[in-house]
Amino acid sequence: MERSWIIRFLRWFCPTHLLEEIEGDLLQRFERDANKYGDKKARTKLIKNTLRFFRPEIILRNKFSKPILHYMFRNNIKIAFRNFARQKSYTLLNIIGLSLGMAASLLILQYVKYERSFDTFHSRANDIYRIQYNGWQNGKLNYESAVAVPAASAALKNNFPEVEEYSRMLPLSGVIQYEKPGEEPITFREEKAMYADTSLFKIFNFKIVQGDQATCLKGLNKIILSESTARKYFGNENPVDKLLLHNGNRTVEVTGVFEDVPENSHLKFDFLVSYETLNKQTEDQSANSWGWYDFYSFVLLKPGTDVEALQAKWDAFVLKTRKEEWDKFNRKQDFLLKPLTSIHLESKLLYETSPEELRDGKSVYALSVIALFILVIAWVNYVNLATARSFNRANEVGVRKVVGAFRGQLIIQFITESILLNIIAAVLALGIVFALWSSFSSLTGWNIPVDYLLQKDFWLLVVGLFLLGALLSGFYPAIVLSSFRPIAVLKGKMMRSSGGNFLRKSLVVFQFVASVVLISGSLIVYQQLNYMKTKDLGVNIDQTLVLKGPEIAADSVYEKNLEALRTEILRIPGVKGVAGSQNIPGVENYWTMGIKRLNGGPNGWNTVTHTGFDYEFVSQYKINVIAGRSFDRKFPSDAKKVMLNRAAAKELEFDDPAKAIGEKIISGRDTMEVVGVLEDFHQMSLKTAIIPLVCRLSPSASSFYSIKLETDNYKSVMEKIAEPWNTFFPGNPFDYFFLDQHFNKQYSRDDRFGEVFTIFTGLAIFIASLGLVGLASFMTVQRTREIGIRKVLGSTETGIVVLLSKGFMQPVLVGIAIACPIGWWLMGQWLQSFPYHTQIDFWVFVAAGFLVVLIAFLSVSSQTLKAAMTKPAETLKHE
Amino acid sequence: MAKEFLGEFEELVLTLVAALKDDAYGAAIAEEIETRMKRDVNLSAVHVTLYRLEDKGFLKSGMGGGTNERGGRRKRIYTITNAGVATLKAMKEARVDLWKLVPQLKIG
Repeated sequence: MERSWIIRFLRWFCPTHLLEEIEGDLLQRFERDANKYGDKKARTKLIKNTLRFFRPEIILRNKFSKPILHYMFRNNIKIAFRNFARQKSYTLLNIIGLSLGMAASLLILQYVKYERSFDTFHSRANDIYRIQYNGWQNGKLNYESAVAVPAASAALKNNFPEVEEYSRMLPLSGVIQYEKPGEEPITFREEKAMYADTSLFKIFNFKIVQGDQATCLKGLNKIILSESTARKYFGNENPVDKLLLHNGNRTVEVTGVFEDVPENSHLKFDFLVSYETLNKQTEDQSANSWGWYDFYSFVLLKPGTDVEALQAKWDAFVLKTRKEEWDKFNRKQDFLLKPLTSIHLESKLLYETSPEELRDGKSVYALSVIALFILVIAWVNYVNLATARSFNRANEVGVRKVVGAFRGQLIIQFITESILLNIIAAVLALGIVFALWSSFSSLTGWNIPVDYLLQKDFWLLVVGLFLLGALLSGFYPAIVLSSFRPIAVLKGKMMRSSGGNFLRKSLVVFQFVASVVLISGSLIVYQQLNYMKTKDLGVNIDQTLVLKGPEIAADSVYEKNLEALRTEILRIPGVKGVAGSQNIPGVENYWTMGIKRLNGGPNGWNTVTHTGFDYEFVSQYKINVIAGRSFDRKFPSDAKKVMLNRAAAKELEFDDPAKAIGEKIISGRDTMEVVGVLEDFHQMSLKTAIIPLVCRLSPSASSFYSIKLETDNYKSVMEKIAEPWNTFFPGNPFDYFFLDQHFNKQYSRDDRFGEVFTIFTGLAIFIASLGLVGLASFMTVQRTREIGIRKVLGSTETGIVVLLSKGFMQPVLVGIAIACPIGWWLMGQWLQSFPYHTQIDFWVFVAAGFLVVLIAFLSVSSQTLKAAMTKPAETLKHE
Repeated sequence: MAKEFLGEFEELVLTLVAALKDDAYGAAIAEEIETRMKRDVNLSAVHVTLYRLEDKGFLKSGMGGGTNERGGRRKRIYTITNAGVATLKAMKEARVDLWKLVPQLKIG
């Protein structure tokens, strides 16, 4: 019996001092049971009874003696608070550093989380893919576009069972009017509208609040609108079944209302118009075309689909069905399935829905690294100050050890201190986060929802950072402090170990490497932003007001009225000129067509962007004509002529722009002669490269009228324009904006990023210098007597400051030396992501280094100066 | 110091230790509860309760002599302390006082 496995189990878990009696009692019971019920039943009873002893009261008995543990813990806390109180400034430095560091990283990580949350609110976000369209010409990649041909997504769905659903969207804009009998019509120009069909709601989780999800976009001229747009037009009226007028000539019926599209959706729209309307207008081109690529195309895949395998099958399918067509034009089309959730942080294609909102994923991750740096700098402060002060507490440790403290108990005591400090810092950090939340949110340019702060993972993060901080920063000092040998300490022979000194210095070096990298980083970010904003665009957008062209007008009088308006505008004092165009800088060119040379040049067609403008455009925008001439009223035949930009001339393989003049090109269905070549100018921000452009003459009927001003008083000018506008184009909204502001909006997200980067850089340096102040103050106190003696012997105050600061400046200088190449390399990588970027100047590192040295010197000398100024009599009389 | 209260089972075990005198050990107490109170009891529950009462200072213990009966294992013999006796008494008196407040119940 005694060798039964169950008794062996008991011997394994039961504390030895209880084992004998328990084993005895169990055996006694077994013998009694065996007499009563028989051997077999007694055996099962024994097993049950033994297993019941497997409980914490038995297993852990006397492992931790409760009262002792309790008193020890209380005592630790008491001692910790006494220490905090004794070293107020030191405690304050630590708490400020830790809480700022924690708050900063909590804020940054919430921001990063928001940037990563884009498009994830759809319940099947991970099964949704957007089709990226790559166009190849003559074996060369011509463009990578976010819009694809409408036939692609349909073919995917019809030939592959893995595809559950597909949906296409085509953006449109125009003037929408709501005419209420007996009242002024409510009119707005709307830019965020899409043609779409109901499959949209099967793929995405956009919510319909009124109307039927399955039928609201069925039929011709049906429209659904967002809740806020519905309020804009209808107030409190029920929008359903109401009629709206689009561009003054098409009546559409409201069949539903959807919830406003969330801010963290890459797709943004206020209106959806039924796709059938579009199919009717385009005679089903919008359903079947393999060439027209203006369509955002999405597919929903069955859960668990192997996307790579599907892509391979699909590529083979496209090749098989399209090969013949491609060969005619020497082209090739790729349709790539790209995950919906990767768009916001990774996609950088032509014709993105809101390109200015897209973020560079790497920059966002870089911010999280900064968050970590700030936190580590704060932890390093704690470690440094705690170990530096160890000398002070050596006596305490010695006495405790002599009285009988175990090393483990001392470690627990010092970790208790770091836990307490971290708790205080964490509570403060939470306060800071809650207080600064709304200003931080607006700093990032997003409305990051407040309920991020109530979610479970936020609190897990808080607890995680706290525990990590408490243990990481508490552990090393605890080991060092508890390692003192009591005899040496109590004899007063404690020497500061040079090993600890070295570690402390390396940590300071690390802090300043991080600081210098961050400072030079933010300087370079600003340089690049400045470079992009001030670089010559090749087109002059200053002092230009842009008036959006009228959409509602009877065809018969349109041109005549336009000419009259132009004359009226030119008559206004302060107006230098008016130029009409289909597009303006800062607005992406959606008009693309295939072009080729009539004679020679590359085989097949090249798809390039097109625009149209009037006679004045080139001269008013000061675009350089590098060959030939601009459109001119003197030549009536110019209507059949085109201008190219340098990139287009190169695309058509004219090795010299001048050779293009007089050559014929085919653009779409028209054969046209080249009259001039323009210097490349930036249509879009410097974040994108210049692409080939063909310019046609479009003397009237423009989308934009650019008014060049000579005066700063644009308000009176606009008032004077509004008058003839309303006479000639009644019912059209009078919308205008400053072109340079509009153009620079493309950089607003980058500006935000720069600001966030700089603020947190500042924080990192601040926390690092807090640590330096603490170290310096401690070290000068240690050397008070030495300073006194030096002064008595005739040392000057400057001499003493220099002497004391030397020790601190050394790691700072080493830090700068290490940081420069790291910063150079990192920021070089970052700059490479811009097609047009500034060069890294050496002075950036000189400036960053100088700034850091200055900050470090100020922090250190604030302490050393105090020591140097003290009268030696004060310091020496204590002996 | 806060007054220590005893649970029902604790009181039962404490009383039995007082009653069994020199023969108060885990298995005996468990058996006594089973036979006298006609209720099933866990050996481990009795042990844990004894340890707890000892922690509270109501019992003290020492190892008794070995016997052949239980594979030669010794018993841990418990004796009640003065504090234990006082608490038991106080509890009993309190109960009697309360009982007096109850209107006389007639059985049958």
